Amino acid sequence: MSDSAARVQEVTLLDLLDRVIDHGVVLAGDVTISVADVDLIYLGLRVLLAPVERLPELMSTERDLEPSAVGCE
Amino acid sequence: MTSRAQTSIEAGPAAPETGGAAKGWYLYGITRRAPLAAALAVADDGPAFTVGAMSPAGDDPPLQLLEFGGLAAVVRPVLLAEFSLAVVQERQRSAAVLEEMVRSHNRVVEAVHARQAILPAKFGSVYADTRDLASALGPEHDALLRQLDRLEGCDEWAVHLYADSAVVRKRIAAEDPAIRLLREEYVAARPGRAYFLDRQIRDEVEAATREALVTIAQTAFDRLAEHAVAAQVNPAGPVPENAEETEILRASFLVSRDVAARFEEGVHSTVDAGEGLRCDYSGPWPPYSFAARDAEEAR
Repeated sequence: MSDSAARVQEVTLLDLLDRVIDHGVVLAGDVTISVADVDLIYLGLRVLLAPVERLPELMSTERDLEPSAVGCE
Repeated sequence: MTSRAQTSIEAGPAAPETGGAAKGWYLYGITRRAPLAAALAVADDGPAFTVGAMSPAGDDPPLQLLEFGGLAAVVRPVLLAEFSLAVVQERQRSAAVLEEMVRSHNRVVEAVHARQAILPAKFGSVYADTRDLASALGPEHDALLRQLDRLEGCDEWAVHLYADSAVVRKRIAAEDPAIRLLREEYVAARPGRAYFLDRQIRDEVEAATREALVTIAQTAFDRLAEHAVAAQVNPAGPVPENAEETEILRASFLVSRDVAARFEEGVHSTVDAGEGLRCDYSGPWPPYSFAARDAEEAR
């Protein structure tokens, strides 16, 4: 396995949250009593579980690709 | 190990009690009606397996299958009070509790998924009464069965592709013919003209870099999708400040187990295809990302 394509554990937790909380089948009709606030749980978990250095990234809503330097020499 | 009950929804267990001890049903997912006792036993065997803080570890009621026609809902009885708005909000303050809930949910879904197709339910789906679940399943019975057919023997894989934009930018600056012409002009230009040419070169390099990153991501997605039954692009994470490495693709692929090895090879060759690329991936997952969408298509 090469160094640049990795099946990694760190990404697995975020992938777990992305999948378990953000996806899944919702049946027709609104008879569930407790899927409310799932979005809040999702955001809460993402922020709580993220490594410290990733917090700004998770809490920002949108940010464009801002290159810091352009090579034209 | 506790015994497992299989309950027929049509027969309908007793109506929920009232008051603080009122019980509801936490739904993990929908699967085919089939002997699943072994799968549930595995799912229920982990230490500290709880849904929420309903009971001390190990004391939770066993998982159950509520059967409805050709389908079975994988459920566990829970106390409704544990899923009230106030409790759910309070729980958000504890990452450990929430993480364990998410892992518990996934553990059950994975255990069933290892044996037969399952449509994972949205996290936190609790029904007050099995009749509510039955009425929700009823109109979608056939569509859900077709979905299960499609998902049978397939796993979901998560792929994140990152690019070092500085590396890509450098390559563009060196190789793009239009930019090379501008640079030749820049070298021979007088100072005033050179200033504007410099600005123009920067803009051109930036535009070409963005375009190249989109092309790299699209090409990678298309190649990986060739190995997949279905594929979807997910929103990538925001770009951290000053980060040269950008997540250019975040995608989910539904892959038949027969070709999983080829899919993984594809992931590795994607990275090998270009300098400055890195890829993280995880799997196999139960088909979380393909449960809801397929439901839409099946209607």
